[in-house]
Amino acid sequence: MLSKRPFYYNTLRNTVIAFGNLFNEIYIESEGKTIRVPLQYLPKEKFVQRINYRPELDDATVKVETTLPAMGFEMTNVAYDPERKTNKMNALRGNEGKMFNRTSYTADFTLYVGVRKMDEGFRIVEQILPYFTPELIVKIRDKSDYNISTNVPFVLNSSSFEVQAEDDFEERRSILWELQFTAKIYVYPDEQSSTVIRRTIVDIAHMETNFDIETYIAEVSDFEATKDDHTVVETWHLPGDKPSNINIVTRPDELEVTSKKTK
Amino acid sequence: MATNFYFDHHYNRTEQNLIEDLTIEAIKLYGLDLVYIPLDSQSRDDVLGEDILARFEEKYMIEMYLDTNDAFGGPGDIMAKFGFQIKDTADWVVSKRRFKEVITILDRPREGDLLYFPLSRALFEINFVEHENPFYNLGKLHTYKLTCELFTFNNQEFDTGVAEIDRISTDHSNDVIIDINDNTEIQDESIEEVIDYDEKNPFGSW
Repeated sequence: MLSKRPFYYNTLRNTVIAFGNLFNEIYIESEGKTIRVPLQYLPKEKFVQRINYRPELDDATVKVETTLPAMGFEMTNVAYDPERKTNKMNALRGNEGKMFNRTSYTADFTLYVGVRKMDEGFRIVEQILPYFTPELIVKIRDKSDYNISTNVPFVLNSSSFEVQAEDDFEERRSILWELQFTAKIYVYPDEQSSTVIRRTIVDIAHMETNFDIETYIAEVSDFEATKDDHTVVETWHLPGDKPSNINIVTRPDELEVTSKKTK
Repeated sequence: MATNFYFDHHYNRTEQNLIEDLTIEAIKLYGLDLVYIPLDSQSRDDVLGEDILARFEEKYMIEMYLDTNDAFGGPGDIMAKFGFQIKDTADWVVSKRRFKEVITILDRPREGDLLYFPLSRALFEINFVEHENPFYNLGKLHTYKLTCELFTFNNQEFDTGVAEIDRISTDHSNDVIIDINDNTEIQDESIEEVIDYDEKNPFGSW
């Protein structure tokens, strides 16, 4: 059993967003105009795409195949990265809890650039390549409640393009650039909540006869924050007697002293 | 060895004209009206072999016959690398004589020119012009067969005078595609929540 409680920190989704953001605002000169190259995450639901593109089937829009240039990207693989492994017992501590150390993984991305003209492909790719040497480091807030921002390197592994300009004339020429990237990310385990001990029970027995002499119970009342005042209810049970309660209001720093007393 | 000169199947001018008249009549009877839009290539990159600046500013109405009469060819509507695509194809047949009569500025249909089919509001691009199919009926070629694919819009200028065609520049502009793809969502989310640009912005300036 890995974890009974569901946990999810948006780590992979944030990496997708960070990757998309790198290429989100690429402008080129096309047909005498400055245009922004559209970018989208590719594996969207088909019905979403269909409805987005054709909300009305009988509208007055002229039907074309598509609009180019365009870019699309997808996450293709997530794999464990043993080279960046650190000690699992290096616990991470947040405001409300702690967790075992994060685990190193790599996420592979592919960026596709589709163009009608070779010139446009050059114009787009030339605006991407200079930033990757071969990596570009982006600082991602991957665990903000733990105050953790991680420098994530996006490594450009390869950039290739395919031109289908041969064969018959049934289809026109198509140009597709394919850029492969690897992001070095971390994923986080489930959070272990550390709770305050609120109730202690001490049975005091005679060392020789092993008979119970008395029972001491100390119980802290409900409180919302550790800075709040606490009420400690101490109860002594003597064999055959009714319990006697003593209420003590104590500050948080005094609570530790009271706890010692119960041990 | 020479062919038999008593049988003239390939050089009888009157027979050829009759076949051509019948062909034109058949296209007028069973064909459809299309708008022929020639490509005006204003600047060409001779190294890479492609147009830098292309405009479509003229139009000619001409009748053509749809060779695949039951439906368009191709895979149709598909999900491709860059979202939704319509990969319709069509083969249009046009009379050679009628083409010369109507589109006087051209000697023949050209690859790269466009055909607008008003009935389905489809804008086709001519990929290939086949001039030998049917193959020398009575010794003469009467038609062109235009192998077409739906046009891929690439920010070309349209000023044909036909409002629904000219609107393509706005209906299919990159800005519209950006809106459809929720491109702005990626940017907004990352700036607010994901990317920490506090210390060092790799795309900043100095």
